[in-house]
Amino acid sequence: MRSLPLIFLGVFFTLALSWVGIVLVGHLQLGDLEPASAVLVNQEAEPIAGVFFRDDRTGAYRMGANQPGEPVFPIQLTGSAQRGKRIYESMGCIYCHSQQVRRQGFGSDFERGWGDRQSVPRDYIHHERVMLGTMRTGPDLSNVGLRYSELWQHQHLFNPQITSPGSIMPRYAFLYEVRPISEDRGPSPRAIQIPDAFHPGPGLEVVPTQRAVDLVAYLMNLRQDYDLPEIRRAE
Amino acid sequence: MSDSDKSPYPPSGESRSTFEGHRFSDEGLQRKHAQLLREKEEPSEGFSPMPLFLVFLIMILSFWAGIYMVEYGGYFDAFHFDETATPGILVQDTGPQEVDMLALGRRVYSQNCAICHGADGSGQAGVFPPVARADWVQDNPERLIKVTLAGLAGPIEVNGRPYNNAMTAFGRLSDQQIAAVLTYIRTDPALGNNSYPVSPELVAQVRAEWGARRNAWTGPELEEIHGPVTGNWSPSNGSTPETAEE
Amino acid sequence: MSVPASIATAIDPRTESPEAIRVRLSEVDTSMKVPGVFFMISALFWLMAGTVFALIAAIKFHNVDFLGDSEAFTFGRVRSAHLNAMIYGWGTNVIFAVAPWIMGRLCRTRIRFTNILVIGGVFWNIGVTIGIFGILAGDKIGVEWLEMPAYATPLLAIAFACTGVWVVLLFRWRESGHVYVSQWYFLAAFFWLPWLYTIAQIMLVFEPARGVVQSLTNWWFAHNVLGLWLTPIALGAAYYLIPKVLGRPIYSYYLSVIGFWSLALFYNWAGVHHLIGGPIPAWLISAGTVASVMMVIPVIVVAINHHMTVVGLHKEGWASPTIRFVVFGAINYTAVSLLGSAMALRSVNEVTHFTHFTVGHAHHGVYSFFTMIMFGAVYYMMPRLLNREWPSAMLISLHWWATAVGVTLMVVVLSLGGWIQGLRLNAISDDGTVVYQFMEVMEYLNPYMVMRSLTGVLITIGHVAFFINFFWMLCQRPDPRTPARPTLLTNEA
Repeated sequence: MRSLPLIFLGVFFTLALSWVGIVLVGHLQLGDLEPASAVLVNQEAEPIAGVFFRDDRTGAYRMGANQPGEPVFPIQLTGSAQRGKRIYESMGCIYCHSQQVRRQGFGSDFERGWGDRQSVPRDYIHHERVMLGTMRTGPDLSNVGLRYSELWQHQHLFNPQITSPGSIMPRYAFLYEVRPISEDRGPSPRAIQIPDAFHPGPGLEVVPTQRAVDLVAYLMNLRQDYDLPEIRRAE
Repeated sequence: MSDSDKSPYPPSGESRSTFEGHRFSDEGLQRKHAQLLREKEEPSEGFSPMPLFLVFLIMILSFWAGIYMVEYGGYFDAFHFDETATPGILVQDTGPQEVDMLALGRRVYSQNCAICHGADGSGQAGVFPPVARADWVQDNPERLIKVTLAGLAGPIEVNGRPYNNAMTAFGRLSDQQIAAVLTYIRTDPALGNNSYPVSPELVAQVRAEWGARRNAWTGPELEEIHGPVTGNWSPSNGSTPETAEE
Repeated sequence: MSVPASIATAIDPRTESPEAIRVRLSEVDTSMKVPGVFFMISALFWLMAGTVFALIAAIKFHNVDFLGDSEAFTFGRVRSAHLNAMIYGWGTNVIFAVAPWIMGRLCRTRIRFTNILVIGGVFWNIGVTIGIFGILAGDKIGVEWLEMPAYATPLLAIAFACTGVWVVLLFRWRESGHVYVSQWYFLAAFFWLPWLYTIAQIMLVFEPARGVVQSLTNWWFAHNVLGLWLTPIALGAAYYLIPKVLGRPIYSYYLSVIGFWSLALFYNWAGVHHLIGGPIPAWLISAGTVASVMMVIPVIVVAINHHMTVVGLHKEGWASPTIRFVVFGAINYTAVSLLGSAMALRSVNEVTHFTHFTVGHAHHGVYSFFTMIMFGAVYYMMPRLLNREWPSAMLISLHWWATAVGVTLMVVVLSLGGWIQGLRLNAISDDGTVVYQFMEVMEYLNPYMVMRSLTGVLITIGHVAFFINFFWMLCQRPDPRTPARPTLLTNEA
């Protein structure tokens, strides 16, 4: 092993192998998934866009197609939720919260109520930044938009001790404005309700900034409560 | 150090005393030599043969790798996520099944309620009312169903103590799940409550009547419909407001 | 510039006298002095910065209120500042100091145009500084190991082009006929990293792929930064330093070859094991699992090769600071890699995934293995670059004990805590409910988190000792009349 070109050829092909195998083939298989129209488990298969599915009655494989007017899943994020994704990213939520439900029997994700179906690649096609996460210092957030109300999210972000006593989640009070209640206009309609024990004081109100509103909009959009064709095979 | 770049590079491996000489003082030269001389030889390689067990190890691992990929390769299918499952099998409709309402209720509780009301149902003073040994829980089930479906906000009193916060709406749960969780908190002896079970039909009935409601209930609103919380409701002393008032 | 090729043919290294070789080595040392010292100073400042970030992040795990109202120092940002300061600040700077030096020595050729190396280093450090300020300011990218904002990337690219290409050029200019195993590792690493980084930047930042392809690319990249950048450099350094300090040839050339090529073949597939259980096709996960387990081959091979070289020379090794650190690192390479192979099995991963076990494993790899070998290399390199000796054996000893004990305890604490965390998170009773509520598991972990911070303090003490010793050495004016003696840790040798 004395020749530079030979060594280079070797190290080139070894890395090229995994790059093609993992990244490129992964991209070919999953890179252009389309949203699917709604299907119902345990009912007749509806046409699904972009994937082949087996017709139980004939046994034939068919290519699905969206019908006009049908609801299409997953749903695209709205503007506020899109901005909230940036906040989620910049606060580093990913280091404690995953966004993936593992299948039943593998871990306890179902039993903890984090989801009632496994997450599949199609769930993430509208996520500009896919943050599956590798750590669960906090619970999984795949379905956090289903599990709690907006007010709960705001209270939890303002001070996690309100909703989850003993939690080691940092408080994001800097996303909220604590200000005196206006004498002319009275309490702001946007102010969030804070229990007395955590209230900053009489005559004050806690108003979420735009960033907090966006972040909560993003969290409320984290939901995998629709069915996709591949789920029926996944479980 | 720039001079080290500019100094002529000796074209061969012969003695370089002049080359070195102009760069070091005598003492420095000695020091440098001391360091250099105590240094051991540059690394070289022995040619011991490969141990035999390594050959076997590589063979065994390669064999295992092949078996593993065949067994758990998932048919190289993009939509095959469970490595133990066989492809192409759709979930079969197994039809209605007998459900253990207590077990289902305990699970729904631990998934949705325990984070605020506590795994043991003790709640948190001033913020989250208890469900264990609570008058609200042992009162009219319709009140609980309404709270579960649409949430509850503002001040209330439970067991005579004040609480003021807002509860999330759980309308996304099915009738059966809501019935199960309410049955669980009303009847499970571990929570210290002893009241009557709740049927899915009752949940469906309340949902049909109030399902369109979007904003959370308040304590006074519920009291207007169901009367004050007594904590000793039974089907005989009334499930409707009219009978409660009698 | 002379024509190196003609020189290379003119000299047959096998007939070159040992003295002539030593003179060449001294030329390499002298030529590397300025860039080496520059990179080492940068690396040390990043090491200290990374340590501070680490302590802040660790304390936040048991004391939520610590810097609780500061947006820049919220956990999510401090944690990625820590990671980036350590990997791109400390790790890569120390590699830029050590790798060209060892490469130059093995190629028997002094490092030419060192100004370009230093310019590359300046760009690199500006890039990392901007990147870390960007992270703290909230511009971070939500991709693990690639958090630095996009505006830092061009600087890093220029810097790597200036610096990284040097190692390859050195090899082109080599004047020794023999190519030693360390040189393969260095060449490969300096070729792999730019490829990995470019692909990751393109597919994740500039033209993000759709859906979970991002996650695949992310972990292909992130695991390979460890596996194809830090690991080969540390292995190459160990392959150089162990036989060099102990004066014994490396055990077997054949094992070196097998070890290198099997690592090249298998390591780069292993990253997918970070996605086990996730929304990834089963075949990709299986491929990652198989590759991770196949990593047993290079690991065992390297372990035999290193162990058989050291065996019988423990006393000499114990006296040398270099060998202490390097052998500690080499042993931990075996341990962490075998553990990693086990963790890639689905049944084990079900427990360890998402827990502190993984965090412990990361520190086991990057610190116990990579960083410790780099410490050893620095202890060997600096006296030769500066033509001075380490001023204090006591500080070296302190550095050794504090870091070796500290990181071992940290890995034990995190692994134990993480394992129990995983078991408790997965525990399901017969009626389908979880045995432990999520919060109960987290509260259980609190003492482990306190212990983790304490081990972090211990490691910090070691770093401070290293820092003091280094700058002491840099500032001292050696008395030329006293003969230079090596700084050893025991008296017998």
